[in-house]
Amino acid sequence: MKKMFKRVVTVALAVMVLALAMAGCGGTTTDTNTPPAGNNAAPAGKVIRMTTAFGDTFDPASSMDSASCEVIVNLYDSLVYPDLDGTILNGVAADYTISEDGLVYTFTLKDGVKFHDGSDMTAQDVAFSYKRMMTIGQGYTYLFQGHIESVEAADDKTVVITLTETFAPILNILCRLYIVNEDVVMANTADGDYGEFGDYGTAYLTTNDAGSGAYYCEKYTINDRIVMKKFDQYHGTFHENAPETVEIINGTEAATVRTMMANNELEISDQWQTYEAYKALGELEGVETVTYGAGQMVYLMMNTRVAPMDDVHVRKAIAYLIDYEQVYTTLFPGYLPTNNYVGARLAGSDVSTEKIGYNMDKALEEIKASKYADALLNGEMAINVAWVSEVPDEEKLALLIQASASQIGLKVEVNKVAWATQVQNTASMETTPHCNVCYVSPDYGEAGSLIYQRLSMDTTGTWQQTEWLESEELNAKISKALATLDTEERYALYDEIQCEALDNVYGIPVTEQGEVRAYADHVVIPAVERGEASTTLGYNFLFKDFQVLDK
Amino acid sequence: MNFKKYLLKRLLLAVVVMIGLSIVIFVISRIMPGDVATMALGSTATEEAKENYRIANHLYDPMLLQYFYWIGGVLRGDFGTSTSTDRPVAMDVAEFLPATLELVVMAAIILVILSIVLGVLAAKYRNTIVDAIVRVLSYIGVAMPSFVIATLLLLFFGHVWKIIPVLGRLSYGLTAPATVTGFYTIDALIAGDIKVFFNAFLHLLVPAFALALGGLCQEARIIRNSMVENGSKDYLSAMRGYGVPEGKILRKYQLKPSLIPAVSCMGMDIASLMGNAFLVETIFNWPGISRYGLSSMLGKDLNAIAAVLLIFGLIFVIVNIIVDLIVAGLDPRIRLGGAK
Repeated sequence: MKKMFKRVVTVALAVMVLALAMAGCGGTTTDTNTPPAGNNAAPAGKVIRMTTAFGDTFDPASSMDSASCEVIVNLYDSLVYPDLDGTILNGVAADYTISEDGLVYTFTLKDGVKFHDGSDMTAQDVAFSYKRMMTIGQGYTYLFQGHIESVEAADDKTVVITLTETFAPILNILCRLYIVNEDVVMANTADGDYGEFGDYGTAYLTTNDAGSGAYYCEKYTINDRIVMKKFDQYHGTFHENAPETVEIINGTEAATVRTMMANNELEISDQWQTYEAYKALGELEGVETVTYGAGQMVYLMMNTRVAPMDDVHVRKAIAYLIDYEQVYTTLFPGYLPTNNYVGARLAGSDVSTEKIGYNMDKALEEIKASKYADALLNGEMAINVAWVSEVPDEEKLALLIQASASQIGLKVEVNKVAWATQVQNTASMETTPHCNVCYVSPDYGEAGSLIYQRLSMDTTGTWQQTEWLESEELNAKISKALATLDTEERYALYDEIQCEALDNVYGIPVTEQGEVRAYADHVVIPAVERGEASTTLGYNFLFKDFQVLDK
Repeated sequence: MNFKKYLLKRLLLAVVVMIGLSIVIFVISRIMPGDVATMALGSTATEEAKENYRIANHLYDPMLLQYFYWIGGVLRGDFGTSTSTDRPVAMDVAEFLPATLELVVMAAIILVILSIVLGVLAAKYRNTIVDAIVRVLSYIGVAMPSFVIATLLLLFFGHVWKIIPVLGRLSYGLTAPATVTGFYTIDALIAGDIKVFFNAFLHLLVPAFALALGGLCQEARIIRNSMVENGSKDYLSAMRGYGVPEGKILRKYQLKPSLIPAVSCMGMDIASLMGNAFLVETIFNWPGISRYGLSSMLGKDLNAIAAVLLIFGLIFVIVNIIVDLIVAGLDPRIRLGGAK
């Protein structure tokens, strides 16, 4: 027994020594297939590896976070999709017609659109995908709810979409109807909550894809990485230098990202690093950083239904307390100033009123005019500001407000919360914080998208709208605007709604996020090359248009 | 009490602990504030979808009934469906647990070997420079949290001295071996792929060392002190007087009794490695169950949280039983009932 133990220990030690010896020699290996031990070799072929923060599943019927969108737009096709400048282009649709009353959209599918299993896409797949998404009832379902009466296959190539009423951004939201292969999904259902459809293939689509996009999922390891490969039978076109392999890696830890970039194990960073981290990444050899506006707004949301935030004077005071210039020059360099309630790059975002600016005297005046003045100024009442722990930069804004508030004798408590807790807290008026810092992305490139998310009754009690407005009058204005087909008239209505939101301080649009990425300089990112970025989440990462150049 | 009774008692106690743990985990996961359906499906989910979820998951039933549904499933290996991955939690666990176990086993090997080596060296050369170096290293190791050590090691081996891979389980371009055990090293050997074996083995070293360092420093100090204390016992002087070789005295009569207090601590430390692994896994991009547990907690994925905690608890209990058996093997007074 003792001899056996000794042997085991000796073998273990020998293996460790041998391994370390091999590690030491690894950098001098001449075998081109063997990566050096010290770091991962620059891969053969055209590869893009990008870090992000995963949302775990890439099922297009239930995912809507930024990481999922960046993956899904490459795995799946939609009838139409947005170009970087917001123009709606044909996806798998060859063309479409709109009925005179604006209620019926008839799409004809392109010939030869293949799913990743090699089968042909039909109109029935489109109808099935819509039905599946609406039945599951998650993700982007809310965009379609109430607007679409039916999606039907008239024949193999013709899809007829009938609306309940006119809806101006219908083409924009159809970019979010991702088409799944009905046969593959139904062949891979498990027991579930959807009757004859079992689980509707949700478990299968967690680690597999059933799409027709430019890339197919070779392997997805949950919580770790998804490896996507170029789909040779893709109906569209690839750039000649497009990557053959794309790996999206879960992980935004600063030291890890920096190590990966330094060791040529990463081509594009995530967007969740701090300014300091990006600065360090930019100093690495062969690494550049870029900042672009993608329509994502940083709001200081306010619960307008609880004291003291139910008093517009208090809300105005907070708006006056923010040094906006400092926000986008010092706190978040590269972020953009905004006078609008929604991102200035969205169509129809122009606004005819002035946003409240930084003014400490006026902040104090507003507090004094408030019915809570005594309690607020003698410290009996405090205003809490929540920020999300997964986005460390948010704390800077919360602390800036706290520092400014202290100068006029206002007590501000800063609370760090996990994202899931934030989502949960905002589901009830009582637990929604007075203020919270939140990033909101438009679902499509028009002002109506953010207006709907931020101010509609439908989104009350979600993280997108913690104001608890529940105003039927405002809701009617939003519905009217979205149903107005005349562009100028619709934009005028957007303006009117934005003015109301700004004047009543339904949350503060602090700045437009400048999305920052560090990237290897042999990679060409279309948004960087063209100098314009998509405001529709995910569409800046259509990898078929990326280029991987020789180093 | 004989050894069989001792073992039986430990096993029965373990069952009671696991039942208690399951109740605590279930209650905590169910009394968390907020609507479970909203947490599961997201705030934009339709009311119909949320209602279906509540019915399917027995959320309208009394808590006691819900517990029996849940524990019945757990006993059949069904932990429910993960709300973040949309697939059975058991499937997720099967995918992630081996990665963490492989890391923890390697960390445990490093912990045991290095703590004994350092402890013996410090004792043998007590009050010399060797003892002083081991002492300083021990203090640093114990004082620094594993995530700080992990970050420093990552920066050192990732930027300064790139002799060993530090991220992930395999280098880019290598294909993971076919899953048999889930341990890449063992599976690679089974597949006869030596290149993958060594690559996987090298990937294990730095994260495992970062994970083990705190525990091994503590155990090294315990072994050192214990050996110094035992070294002055009269029976060792008698052995020397009888001419027993010094090496044999050190191994058999001084080290063996000195290991008993350290082994107990090692058991706790090795069991704790599972829980401590989450930051190390995050930093080294290690796709293990600790990182899965962390993301489940941040995402309030209740079924996944319950499964991860239950598995950690089970491993803790099993490791402690093994440690008790080892200690009983080392010290006859325990297995014969002389010490309780």
